[in-house]
Amino acid sequence: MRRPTILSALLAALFGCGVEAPPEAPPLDRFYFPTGVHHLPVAGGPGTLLVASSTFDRRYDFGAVTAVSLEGAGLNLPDFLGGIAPATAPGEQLGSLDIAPHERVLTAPFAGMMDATRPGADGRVRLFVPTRSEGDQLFPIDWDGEVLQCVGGGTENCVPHGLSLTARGLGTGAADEGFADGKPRAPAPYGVTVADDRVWVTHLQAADSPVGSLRNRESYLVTTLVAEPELSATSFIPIGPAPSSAVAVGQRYVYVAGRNTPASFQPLRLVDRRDPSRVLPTGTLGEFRLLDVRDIVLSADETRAYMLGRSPDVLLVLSIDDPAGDAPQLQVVGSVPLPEGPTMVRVIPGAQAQATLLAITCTQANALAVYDDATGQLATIVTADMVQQPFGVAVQAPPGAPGARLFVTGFGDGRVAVVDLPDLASPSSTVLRKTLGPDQRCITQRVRPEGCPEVAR
Amino acid sequence: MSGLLRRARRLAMSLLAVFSTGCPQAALPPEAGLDGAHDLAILGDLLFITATDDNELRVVDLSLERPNFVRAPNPIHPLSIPVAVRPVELAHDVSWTDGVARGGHFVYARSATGQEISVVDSVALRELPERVTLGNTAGTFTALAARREPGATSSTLYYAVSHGVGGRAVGSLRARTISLEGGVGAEQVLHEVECGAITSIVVLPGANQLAFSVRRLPAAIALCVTGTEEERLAAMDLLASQHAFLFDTATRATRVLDFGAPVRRLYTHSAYGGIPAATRIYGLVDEAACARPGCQGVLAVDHAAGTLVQLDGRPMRPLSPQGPLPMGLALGENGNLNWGVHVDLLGVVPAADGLLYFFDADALRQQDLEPAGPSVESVGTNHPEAGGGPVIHFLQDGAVRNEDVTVAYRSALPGFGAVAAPQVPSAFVDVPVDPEGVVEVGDVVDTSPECGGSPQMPPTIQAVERRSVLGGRLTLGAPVGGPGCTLAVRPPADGTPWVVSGSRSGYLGRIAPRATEDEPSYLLPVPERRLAQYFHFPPGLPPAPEPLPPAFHFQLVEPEGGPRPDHRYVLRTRSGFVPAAAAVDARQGARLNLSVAGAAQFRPGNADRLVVSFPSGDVVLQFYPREISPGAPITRFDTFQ
Repeated sequence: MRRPTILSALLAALFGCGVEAPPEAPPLDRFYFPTGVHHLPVAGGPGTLLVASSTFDRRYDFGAVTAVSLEGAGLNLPDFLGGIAPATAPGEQLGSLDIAPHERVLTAPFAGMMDATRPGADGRVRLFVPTRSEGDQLFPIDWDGEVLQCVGGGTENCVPHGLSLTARGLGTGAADEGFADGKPRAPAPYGVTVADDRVWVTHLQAADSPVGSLRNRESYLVTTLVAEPELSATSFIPIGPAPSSAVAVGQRYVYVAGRNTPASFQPLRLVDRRDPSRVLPTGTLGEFRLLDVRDIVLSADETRAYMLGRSPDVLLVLSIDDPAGDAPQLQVVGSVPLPEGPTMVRVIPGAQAQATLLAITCTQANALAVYDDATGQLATIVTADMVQQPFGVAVQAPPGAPGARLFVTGFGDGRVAVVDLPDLASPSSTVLRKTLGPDQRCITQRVRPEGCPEVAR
Repeated sequence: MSGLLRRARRLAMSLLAVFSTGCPQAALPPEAGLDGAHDLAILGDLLFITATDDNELRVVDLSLERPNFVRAPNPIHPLSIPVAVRPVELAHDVSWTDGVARGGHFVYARSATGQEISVVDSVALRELPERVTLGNTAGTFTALAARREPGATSSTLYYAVSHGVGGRAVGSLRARTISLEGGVGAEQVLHEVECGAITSIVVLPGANQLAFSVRRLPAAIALCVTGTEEERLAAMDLLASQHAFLFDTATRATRVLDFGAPVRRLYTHSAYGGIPAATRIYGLVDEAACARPGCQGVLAVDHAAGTLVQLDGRPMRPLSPQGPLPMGLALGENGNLNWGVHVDLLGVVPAADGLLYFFDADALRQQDLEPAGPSVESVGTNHPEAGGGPVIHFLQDGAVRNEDVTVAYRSALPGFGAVAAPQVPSAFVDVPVDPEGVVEVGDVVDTSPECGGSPQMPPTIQAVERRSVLGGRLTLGAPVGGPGCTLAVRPPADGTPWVVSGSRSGYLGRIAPRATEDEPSYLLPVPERRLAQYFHFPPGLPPAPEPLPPAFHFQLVEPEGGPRPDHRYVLRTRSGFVPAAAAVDARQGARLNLSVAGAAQFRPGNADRLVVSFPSGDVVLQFYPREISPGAPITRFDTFQ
């Protein structure tokens, strides 16, 4: 029995091939092309940060989701977030992350956005991370406060357990009723929103039928139950040929922000949650001739929708009348120029705010913008010491606290910026408190930025 | 376009200009590589343009036979004036001379960070060493304007700061003296407005006269008013009705300019056709603060009276592109178009669909390019087997919009489909919109399963009350409430159970069906709601105070076998109103991405030239209005990019 093994080893040593290197996971000391991010509160502490690493250059064979204790990262819970201590001194950088193996699970590369359920009484949450590499998988992942676990089994590699949004449509997965000729399927899943008991996923490329024909294009809004994340043909809600980038979930409607493709573009559609076959086009958006839409959020009272547009790079403000009625009325009521490359927007909740405040990442400008609906203008733009190519943003805003804290993933440098807004009534005052993680450009770029550790030659 | 590519392209164009002619002063215009053409300002013959993403201003010399970017000291490059981070708004000194608003010495650039204002010397074409900043105080610059008296050696910069004081929003109007010798002077706080932010300032003739607009969102008002409940409600209504003010910088006195709607930016005009300068003040409606359907466009108040201009005894209607967001306004005295009618004051609204919308800013009317009147394009129903439905008798020009009008059997009233009930059961339910004129006594309230109680005995409405700008209160026949409990208000089955609403108009009314077409028909909306339905006063309307005709005059024929529970008919209506507008010829503009227009301004003293920015393509175009025919493509223009 040993002879073939020895022979194989000899052959491999002689010819340098025949045995593949084991798949390589990203290192545990860093984020790697981080995209989606989510903050979880922890009683009395600064909380836990969950970050999706997209491994965009495929230097490693996996993406990852990482849980980082913010207390371990040197952050405290300051008074403006409901704590009792003043905030830690700004400007500090935390280089190595020192993540324990049970605080990380592996996913497929090319993660997009991330969302999670609200923490239960026991602090448990379920995360959802869509990825755009082979298999177009959606990863449900559990966090119990200490350990990340793949839903479906395993505490390390979630890839075997991810839900493919294309396999059944392509006929490569389990046979299922309702799948035929390449449909339904959702290539390049990207946006994800969890609301109530459901998760909603968008995808960036339309499905063609037959596969590869570029004909009969159809796009879908994919939904499944949070508690039992499974996919069937009915999980795919047809929304027309144009794909979508992000969703926001209202009382009655799911607001689906369009993604531009050469074939088609619909900036905004509404899907009726009571009758998902009812997809309402919102022609009014055609009156603001954007070339693309990247994200959408709703105000707490659902009287406003905020969309990030590209070319021109703007924040579009829409009024929503009768959001729970049979025919909600939407109107573009404002546009605000943004720094280049707006990518993600999140509402900053807080009773102290005079009106809705938004945090907006602007990837190409390396900027984080804060919009204040009270003035209809940007309250501030954070650029100094900001992470490179800001992508995702998560918000920590405990109920009743006067301030908020933002976490911004740097797709370009692998770090996460911690930005404080100590007084929501004065949103122009921001402090970049700290950056987390080493600069990935030290290993991805030929010309290494300053501050990289020496490399052994 | 990435910065590297942009700069490479810019350099290549500059070199091409040199090598193709052998001379740096060649006629071939250089490309400045504008990045962020959001705003512009014209001083004399110089056009200043923001290059927001490059933190600089570019300058075009409009006096040249072929207008061109002003060259840098190294003439193969166009001049760049570095300014504060991300300049998004420009203003310049205004000097009122003989009824004409002329430029002064400085151009001011407000940073999008809200923390700095750059001052640029328009002669030396460089920024002054000192910027206007907030120092160590919290806040955001939200507006700016400036005055320079004829012959003066200094200017006065007026600006607004938004900041929070004790949890309340405060808009502060401030001033500084600016001069070449003294730089930026000390700050003076001139005035403060509570519960809002100042969004624009305009300098008027008369040494001390300003006007400014205020944005007050209902939520911000609710946070800052104090006192008893009655006092708070009264204060909220008062604050919500005050959107613009005249201000005297000497006496610090204010006077309300009653536009009848919130306005986000103010403008005025020079003297024209015997009309003194600033006889009227124009406001761009603040759609975001207005929060009602159809709230869009340009309104005008009489400067002396401070009230909305009346047309034939009725308040003027907003001059609107009918959908696309207005991005600015330009007023051209004695300007005109190639449209066969003379106007003394030409108004232009650049809009978010890339078109320029024109109107007569003196008569305050828009020209309708479509001779046909309103029409119903289609009628659909979800129960075609039952027949019946609306029979249209009359559609009123100027009141029927481009929209879907739904006639639905006992549907939830618009805005009252999912009203949050109190956490603890109560007979009083506060609602965030004005219920008067929509909800009626006797309407039925359906409760969600979270409310508990007996669905067989739904409560009915006992009283309807408007309380303030923040909404009203419904009194129910029985207490309802609980966590997650929501209510839907519907008409009862008897009486007038069909609800009529428009996708743009909102609630229009309710009707009962008739068995035959011989029975009386309906006039919608009811008289007191009709003015809001009008977006345009066509010729032939009855003179005030006669009531305006309704938008719809129709009859609903009973469906066979009676209505089904979700029965509805949908009429797709067309206004037949095409406002006078024009866009660049598609082939000529194909490479420019002119999909979204931005700021616009006429050349001072020369309304035959109109300059418009297009942030979608980072390009600025100069048009020749007398060659523009509304409805036809614009073929002649100068390009700066």
